Amino acid sequence: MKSPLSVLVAVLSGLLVLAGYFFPFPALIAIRTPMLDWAVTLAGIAGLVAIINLIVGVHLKRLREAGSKRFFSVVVIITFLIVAAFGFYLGPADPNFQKVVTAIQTPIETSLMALLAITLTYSSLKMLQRQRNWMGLVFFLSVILFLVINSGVLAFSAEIPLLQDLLSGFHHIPAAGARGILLGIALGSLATGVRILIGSDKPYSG
Amino acid sequence: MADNICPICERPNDPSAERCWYCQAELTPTEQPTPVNGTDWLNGLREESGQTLEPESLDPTIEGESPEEVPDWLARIRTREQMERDAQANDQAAQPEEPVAEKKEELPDWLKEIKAGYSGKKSDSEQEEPTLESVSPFASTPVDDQKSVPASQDRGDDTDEWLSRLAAWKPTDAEDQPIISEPGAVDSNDAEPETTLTPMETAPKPQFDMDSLAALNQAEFRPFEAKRGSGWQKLNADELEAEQQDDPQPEKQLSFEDLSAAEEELTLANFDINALRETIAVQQTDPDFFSEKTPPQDDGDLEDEDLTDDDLQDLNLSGTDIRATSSPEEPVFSDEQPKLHVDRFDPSPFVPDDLPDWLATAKLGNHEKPTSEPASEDLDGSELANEIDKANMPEWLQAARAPTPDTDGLSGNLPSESNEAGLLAGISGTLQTPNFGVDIRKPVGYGSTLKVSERQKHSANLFANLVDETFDENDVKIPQITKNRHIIWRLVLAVSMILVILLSATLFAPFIIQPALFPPEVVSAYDQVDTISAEKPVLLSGDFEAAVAGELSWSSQSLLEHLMRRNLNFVILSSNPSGSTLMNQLIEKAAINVEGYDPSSHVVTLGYLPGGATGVQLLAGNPRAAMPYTHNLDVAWNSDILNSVNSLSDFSAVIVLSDQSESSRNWVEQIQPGLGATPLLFVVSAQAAPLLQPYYQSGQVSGYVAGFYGSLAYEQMLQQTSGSLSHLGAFQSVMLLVVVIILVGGLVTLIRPASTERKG
Amino acid sequence: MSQYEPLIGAVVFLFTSGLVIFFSSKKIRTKFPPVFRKLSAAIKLRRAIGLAVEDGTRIHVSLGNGSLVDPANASALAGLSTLNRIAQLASTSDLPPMCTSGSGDLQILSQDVLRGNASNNHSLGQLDPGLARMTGVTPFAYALGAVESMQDSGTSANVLIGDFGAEAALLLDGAENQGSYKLAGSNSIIAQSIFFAQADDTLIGEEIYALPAYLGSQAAHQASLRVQDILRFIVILVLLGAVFTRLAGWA
Repeated sequence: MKSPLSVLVAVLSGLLVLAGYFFPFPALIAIRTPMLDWAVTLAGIAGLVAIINLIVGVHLKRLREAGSKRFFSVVVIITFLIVAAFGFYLGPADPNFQKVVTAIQTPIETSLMALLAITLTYSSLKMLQRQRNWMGLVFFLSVILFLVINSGVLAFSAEIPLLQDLLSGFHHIPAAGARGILLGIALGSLATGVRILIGSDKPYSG
Repeated sequence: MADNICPICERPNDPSAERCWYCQAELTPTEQPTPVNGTDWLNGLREESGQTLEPESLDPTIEGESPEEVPDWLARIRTREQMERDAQANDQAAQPEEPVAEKKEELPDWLKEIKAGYSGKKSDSEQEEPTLESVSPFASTPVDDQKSVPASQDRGDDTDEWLSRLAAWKPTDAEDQPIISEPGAVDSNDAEPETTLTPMETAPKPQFDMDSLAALNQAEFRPFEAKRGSGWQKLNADELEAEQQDDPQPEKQLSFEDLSAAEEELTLANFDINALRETIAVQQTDPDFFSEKTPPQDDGDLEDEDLTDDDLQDLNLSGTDIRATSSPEEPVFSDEQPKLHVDRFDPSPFVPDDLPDWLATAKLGNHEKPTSEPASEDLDGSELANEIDKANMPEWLQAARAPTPDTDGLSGNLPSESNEAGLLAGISGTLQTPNFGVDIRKPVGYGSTLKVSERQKHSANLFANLVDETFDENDVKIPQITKNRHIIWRLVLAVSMILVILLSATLFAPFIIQPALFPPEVVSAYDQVDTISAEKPVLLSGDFEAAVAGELSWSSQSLLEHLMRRNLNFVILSSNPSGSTLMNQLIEKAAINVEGYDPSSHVVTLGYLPGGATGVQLLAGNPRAAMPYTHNLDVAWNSDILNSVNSLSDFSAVIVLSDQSESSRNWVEQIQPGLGATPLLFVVSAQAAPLLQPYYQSGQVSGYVAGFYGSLAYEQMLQQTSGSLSHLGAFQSVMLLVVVIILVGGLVTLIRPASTERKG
Repeated sequence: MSQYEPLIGAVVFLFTSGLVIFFSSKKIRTKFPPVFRKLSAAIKLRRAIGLAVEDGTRIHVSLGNGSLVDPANASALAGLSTLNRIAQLASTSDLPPMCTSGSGDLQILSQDVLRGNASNNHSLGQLDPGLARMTGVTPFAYALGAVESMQDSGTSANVLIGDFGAEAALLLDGAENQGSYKLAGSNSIIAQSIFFAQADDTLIGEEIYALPAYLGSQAAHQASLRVQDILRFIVILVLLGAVFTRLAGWA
């Protein structure tokens, strides 16, 4: 059974921030601004807690279990400790410490991004196996069309007005479709937020 | 001594008995006092049994038999019976007798003979046990009075009384059974004066059975207190049954079929004296005569055990309730008796010395015996069991015996354990209220935790091991062929793409198609950058991850160089921890291509702006509060670049580098309302461009550079060559390759049947 | 920002709240029961949950890498509601569901959800806190960590509800190698396009916010779904009115 105190705190906090946004009275702003600061600070602390939980709760625990992935957990833990130690010692602005990002993290993630190209291409090959319907066929054709358009091979279309207009229209279709989807998402987000603000939905316990 | 008639079944019981021996109903105490020396009428018999039986009483006609002697218990019974009979005879003269009493006086001839044969025979052991008290259940005189009677006379009275009791058990059957007498019968007239046996009305058949005798003895002895003397033997219900079975074809033996179930009585006339004699003779020769019928015992020490005082308790002399159970192994006698060896019986209850003389010498009729073998050897009890119809057994005998559930068919008729409490108290033949031993009113509480015993754990572990051995994880995984196919396809795609990229610079260079038109948003961005004031700094926000640093490096290179060429100051911040580092890297890379531009003097790095959209909103409201320090932890707003900046509108432009449309939208929604005339520009990845276009079209975004083609267009507007143009060929080649692969693969997939790999 | 925008926002919020409360009442639900269109993804998800319970395998729920302080947190909240409902439905399974996320606040909330369900099922002592974990700080690190987690735990069904980016392709590719069922939905257009190509079932647009209602979570979810439908029709009418007004030259 969830505690009514946690529900009361959550509801009041949300309503105060929202009221401060809708009605920028000084009193409400004076309450809203520090609460936003607290929220930002808590988000950062939550990230730190989650990192510690990852290291201790997952990787350290995996060391106690038998398996082939214990070695990787050891690498993760050691790497984390070394980088954290250097970061505290050198500071995030130190150019040598920044090389951790530029020389290690950037190449790795860029490679993963490049891997996406292969993964998405392979998935597009098999898409019709999974989506054997009109929507799948339309999606497939759309992929082909916009890949061709964005590749730039149709640059000669500028000299052909009809083709230019057609391609211009094609450019607006994704935006229109995305806008409809985004409207629905916005309405869903509104309903979800309202549920939490009035206390109907409580993704927290206490 | 007057009998205590049971109000339920109207049968005579011992006056001192509290419960009816037959139906276990409660009895009202009789007027006549119990004997002073105890209520045990048997004690009187014991005293009278001091006279020894002559060894000549043994029947010489029985081959292989040792000289028989009347058992002490039987001798005492007879003595007592005789005494009581005499007393009754005197009473009858003064009082009108009850029908039951009348029946007692009518003794069959065979019973008279028994009495006569016993009167003069006594065993030696009986002489050695003078302290036994014997009180017959049918005794009408106290023990003391009985003791005063001459021994012979007492003996005869007891016998008469005893026999009358037997006859009274079957009051409806008034047939007189002829008494079969055998030559060489025990001459009961020799030892003591005999009393003429009054034929009993309810003694139709002169057949005597050992089982009947034993049961009769039990019936006799049950109502009385347990006080034993020597010579009494424990009776085994199975032995009684064995005795019954050991006599295959007793001549003129009363068949149990003649006994009706309703009667459930054993009359004197039903005794088979011949069978009894033979049985006793067999017992004398073979102490293990009843061994096969003996219920499993803890030890076999009792087989050869002589009668002791403890043994007498088995006869339920105390008169307590006897629970006749249906299990052959359950004791016949109640467990409530203290120190009762109820679960065991002496397999050989009769020792040679205990046999009465009359029984040893009596020969009633032509008793057929198995000629092939002596009775003491190889007695087939099963034959006897098949011959004897157990359905007509009296109730008391059924209680004494241990019936089998199927063979005799009397399991339903056997007197069950009577309830001593509850609605069915005192009524026999009903199911006993089960005793759970625990209070069933309260529910058993079970804990919420899982209680697992060691055995269960062991079984669970064993089962788990079996399952692990049987099933392997690989059994449920995707087949290796399918996995290899995936890997091969990916390798082929990767290799082909890399090859095209490598060859595009040489092989596909002539086929590059350059864009003819500049996107309007790029043009707007160029115009805005070209017209921003150099006196105010430019806010650069890095809102992208390291994964898209390569793409944004291409996209933002020209714009940053354009800003540097105008000698503008930069204020850098990032909404993710690694963004500021990436931004510094971009600026350093762009500064290489711009001569005379020193990033250290033109760039202030504020660091990481936490909180996502909330942080951006905070920045929009109060940038000094949102970012008070630089990433070096220096006070940021005291520098020359930022000392004139109080809000976002004091910047000459706000340029956001982002790879996601959502974060771009956050900046637009949070920052743009407070910018005023300050232009808001974006450098975004190609994937975010379609969603940013509406904001550009609405005027909220002044311009943006999106993707490869956007940067290429910006370079062309700057009229400078950079990396975008050199990579255009590779870009277009790979794009067309992907188009071809997807098109061909999709068409093949469309033609092929539906795959079974799809889940769900 | 226009001076009327806050007022309009307040009116919209109050109107929506009132409708949600109104449709949440038992009387209205009884008198006017909700009628929703068939959502095949929800049906298949229920079946996948049942199969996972029978097989004794795990269900993996991934909430994306959006933070709660971002506007995109609504999809993460919908993912939390879905996680709660899946945990309830799979309470009899040998393996409780696992949740991965890319931000610390979502990790804490998901851990709280699992703990609450374990407490309701009286299996708090058997709960592994590591079942709710943040697998990476950056999107690609989160995706790789989530793939590794689903490979370790014997997952038979993957539910991706939240704010995703292009890294979702790696997630689904890893799930494809597992041969497990994949249901995905996101507020991001990019992620939705990737999901459509790779996932077994995709939730387009606002369907992710309808999933808890289809799983039978609470009455408030069904009420908010009805409110969404009402608001959508209102928006359609407003758009059409604006279009007609523009065409007519009135504005």
